[in-house]
Amino acid sequence: MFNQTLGRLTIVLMTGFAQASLSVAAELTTAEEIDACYESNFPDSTAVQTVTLSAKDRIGAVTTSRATLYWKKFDDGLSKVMMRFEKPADLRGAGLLMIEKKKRNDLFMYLPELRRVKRISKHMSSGSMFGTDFSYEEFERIQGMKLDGVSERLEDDEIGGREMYVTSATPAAEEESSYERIKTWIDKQTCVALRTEFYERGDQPRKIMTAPYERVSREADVWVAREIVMHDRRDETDTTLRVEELEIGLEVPRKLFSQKELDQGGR
Amino acid sequence: MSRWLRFVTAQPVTVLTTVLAISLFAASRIVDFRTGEIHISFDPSTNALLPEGDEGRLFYDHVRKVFGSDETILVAVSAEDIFSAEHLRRIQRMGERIEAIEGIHHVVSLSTALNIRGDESGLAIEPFVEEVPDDPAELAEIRRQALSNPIYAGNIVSRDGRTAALMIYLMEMTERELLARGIDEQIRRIAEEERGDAQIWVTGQAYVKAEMSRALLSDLLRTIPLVALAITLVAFLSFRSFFGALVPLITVGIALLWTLAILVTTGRALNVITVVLPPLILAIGFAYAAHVVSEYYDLLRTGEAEKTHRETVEKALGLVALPVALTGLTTAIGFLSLAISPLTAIREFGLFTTAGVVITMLVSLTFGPALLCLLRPPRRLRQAVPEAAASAFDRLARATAQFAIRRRIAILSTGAAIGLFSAYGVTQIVVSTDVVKLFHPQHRVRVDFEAVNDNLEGSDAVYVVLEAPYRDAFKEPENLASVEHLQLWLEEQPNIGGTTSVVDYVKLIHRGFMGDTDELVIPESKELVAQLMFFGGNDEMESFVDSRWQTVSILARSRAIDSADVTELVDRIEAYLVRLPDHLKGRVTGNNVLINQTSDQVALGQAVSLALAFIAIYAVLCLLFTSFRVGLLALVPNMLPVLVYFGALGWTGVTLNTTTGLVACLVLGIAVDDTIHFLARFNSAAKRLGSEAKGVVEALLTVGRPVTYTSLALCLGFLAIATSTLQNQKEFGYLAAFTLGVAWLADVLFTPALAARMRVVTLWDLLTLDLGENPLDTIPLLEGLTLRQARITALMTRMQEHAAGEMLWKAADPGDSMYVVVQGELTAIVPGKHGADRVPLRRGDVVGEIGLFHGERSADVEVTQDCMLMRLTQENLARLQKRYPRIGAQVYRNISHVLADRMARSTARVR
Repeated sequence: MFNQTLGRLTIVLMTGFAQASLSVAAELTTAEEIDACYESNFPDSTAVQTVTLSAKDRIGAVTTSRATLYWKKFDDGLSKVMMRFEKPADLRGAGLLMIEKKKRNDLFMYLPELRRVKRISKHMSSGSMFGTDFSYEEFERIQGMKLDGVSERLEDDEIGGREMYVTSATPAAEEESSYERIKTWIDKQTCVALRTEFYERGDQPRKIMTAPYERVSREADVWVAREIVMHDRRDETDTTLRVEELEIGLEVPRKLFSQKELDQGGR
Repeated sequence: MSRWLRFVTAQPVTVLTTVLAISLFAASRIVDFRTGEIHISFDPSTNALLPEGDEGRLFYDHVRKVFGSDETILVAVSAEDIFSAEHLRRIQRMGERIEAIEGIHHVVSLSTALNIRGDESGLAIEPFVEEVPDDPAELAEIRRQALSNPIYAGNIVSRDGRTAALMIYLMEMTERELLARGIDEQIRRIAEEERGDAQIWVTGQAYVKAEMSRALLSDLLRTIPLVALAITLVAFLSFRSFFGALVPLITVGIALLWTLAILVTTGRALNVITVVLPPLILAIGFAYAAHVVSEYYDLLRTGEAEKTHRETVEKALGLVALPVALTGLTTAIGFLSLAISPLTAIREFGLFTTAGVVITMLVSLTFGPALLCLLRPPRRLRQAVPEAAASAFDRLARATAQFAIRRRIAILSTGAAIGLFSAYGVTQIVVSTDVVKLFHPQHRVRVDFEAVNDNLEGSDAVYVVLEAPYRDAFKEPENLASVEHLQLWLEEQPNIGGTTSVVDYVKLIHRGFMGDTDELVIPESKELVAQLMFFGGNDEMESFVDSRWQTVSILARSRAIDSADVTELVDRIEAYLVRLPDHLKGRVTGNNVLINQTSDQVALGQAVSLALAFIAIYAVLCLLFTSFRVGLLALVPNMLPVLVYFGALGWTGVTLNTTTGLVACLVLGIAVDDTIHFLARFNSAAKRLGSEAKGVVEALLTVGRPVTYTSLALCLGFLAIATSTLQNQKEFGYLAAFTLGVAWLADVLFTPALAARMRVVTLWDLLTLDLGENPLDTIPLLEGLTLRQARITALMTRMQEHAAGEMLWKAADPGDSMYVVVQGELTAIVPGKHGADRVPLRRGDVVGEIGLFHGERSADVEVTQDCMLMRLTQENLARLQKRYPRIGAQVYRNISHVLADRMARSTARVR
């Protein structure tokens, strides 16, 4: 076991990027190597995605939103995310800005109806994001925002006939995470996380996130999970995130990731 | 039937072996012999008290699915200042420990409830207390914010700041699972450990139900042995013999075993109503078993035993089989009438009790007699002394019978007066089901419930659910305003402490986002609501609005305890809901609301069940006594206790609910048994002794003892149930015992008073009377009648046997009757000119008709061969005419033909 940045562990969970240059046939032996496999799935600079979030409640009713997501890694190694919503109609122009910081990340939202930008408090990060089964905390991690913690390798497993590395990560106390630990199944061939279990306490996970392998595709030398499902076991609800469009390495200006742009871009 | 009776007594070992084999199989269904696991389970769910398939129930289930369960456990912590650092830390620790219990969905308290606020820089949605500060100023600020929060003030913290609540939401689970996991006990234990010097109250629907379930189970374990003890004592008192007591005890034990095996095999569990099934079967079953033993002992005691032991048992069984079978049938009818109830719990109670009664009856008529065959009679009865000195009980029975005959009018009048008095009491009955009031006022459950009611805004809740026909309807400000107006109106209603809805969250998030105002207002546009909720919505809101924003639920905290208050509140709300805009549909629901709504169903169900029971039992009585009129007369003594019972409910203020409502059908089914026993015995005695008064005395002498002892056993059994800690079980026990006591009084006074002027013909008589071959063709008096009518005629008159050589009468003897020869031969010695003529009289011949009409015999008549004669008097002919007019008319016509024929022959002789 050794310290790892959790953000790197979880980046693959949402975007599912994987670097083809890694020799997937070679067996990784340590948690460090597995971690490196994950990290190699990050884009080097930018990514632009069109995503839909479909949240299904207990009785099967589905609510869908659609947004364009811009991601950029800056020189200091920290990243920023800008989301701009297109659907449903009453959300058009609403935006979310995530700024990774060394200590506490910043979250800002923009409401076009009020034409205002507001900071979101820390505690909200553990609450439901946009009425889905993803929390802000999970979304931050998915976008590669670094969190400290401890990781260890567990016994290998198998999902759908595919061989998997299994790791268990424990967030550091100062991160004030909602989770005691996070267990991840990484596909040996693609280094894409096909299953992740989030444990609040005890030995039963609160949430389970899965990426069906048949929806994992190769995009510009990286592996992308085009569909990810987050299942809340306690509330018996699901949210499916689909990556409709994806472009990697596009030129995305820095100024896009500012409160001013969050405000202006929505008008 | 006689062949079967003979089989039981001729093959006792076979019968016993068969019964024991079935019992072993039944036991194997109940207990796993390998592991010792008992398969009888208890389902404490009150869903069995809700009507299945009922539209209100289906809606409630749907609402639970959308918004989550409304069954919560509430822990209230009360102290001088709940916002001190010490108490806030206690609440925090309490909440964390409780949330860690498996089965807890989440806990809402001051340390987890979200404080939605904002300022110029940002929107904060975070718990009131994340880190408990020590700084008094910070604590004061927490207090200020909590007490000014419209969602939580009065809800998770009292407005005076002295009481804080932890609202504990459970994962979806059955009440059985809750009980098995002991979640409520774990919560109370944690609360007690963390309370410090604060006061702790624990309540909530889930908690109250769990406590009720435990109380019921504990009662069951206590009452079964108590009932067994009661019937053992009565059995010993009655039979004064070890084996005499053992036979009925083993019989009811076997019957209970088989009944529980059926319960298990059908996959059912004992529920909150059927939990009384075991002691009930023991108490009721004892009556059937005791009658068989009693009859057998009576034969021994009065010297009427047969030559062999087996024949005595067979004779006893023959005397008691039909009455026991019929009484079993009528009791079963009483319980089966409950099977039409829309409430699962009552329906199952009716069905399984019926099964238990039928099984008890069968086992009493097979196993009991078979066992008696193998056991030696008590020593004191082995040498029977005919006409033994009357016991004190016999003297009392005789005196009571004579009193009933002498004071017949007074007794019947008193009964009628009591009936009228009770009928007025019926009009005062209150129909009500109060779960909390099942507990004694000093019981912890009730004390805590009322304390929370007093200190917070209500221990219970009703939910007002509004539905719109399109998605995102409740993002529209106009619809949110309708919800707000409804909330304001609700808060003006008595018994409503406070309300919470999605509007409260919308206004708070709106204010928080604006940051520059204290006003709580609904946003002005649907788009703004959508955007605020998109970013600021949280898990707590899921209890108040669905994901499509098409349905909202308003939580109205209620202080109403009495179900009458709840019903009245619901009615008022529903009247208001009609005034909503057309596109919004509102309904009131909630577990408490549903249970109270079943009160109406209980009352209606009772009326229907009782009516059905009365009709069915009346039909049986008519069949038994072959007369509508007599059947009705037989029903009257049984209507009286039921009327007295309902009158007692009204006069004492005990409510009619799902438990007390069972008593009427139960008592009716049991009480009619004793009436049948009495009337059947009265009929045969009256015919044999030639007098209704003598028949009453003998009937009371014969059945008075078993009726009294079985009533005593039943009363004691029900009083054992009344030792419960739950009010409804107490009321059930006391009321049932009281009503059975009234039924006993009716049977020993009222029924004899009625019977003293009643001539009854029973089905049994009809079936067993033998008039020889082709009576309609060979006995002119019966010409033109059906066979059934012929038997009625014979029974309503009088059948007599005479031995050969007996002088029936001599000439000039006074006479008041005529005779028809049914079997055998008489000889009339008619004086004539050339000496006496000896005229043989054989089957069908009539003799003594002159005596019937003129009062003096005209010739000697002697019995030449053993004969059976039908004796007709003016009195019994008049009674026949009154009871069965058609038959009477035909018989009179036949008598006329006989007289005319006699006159024609006399005239021919003179010519």
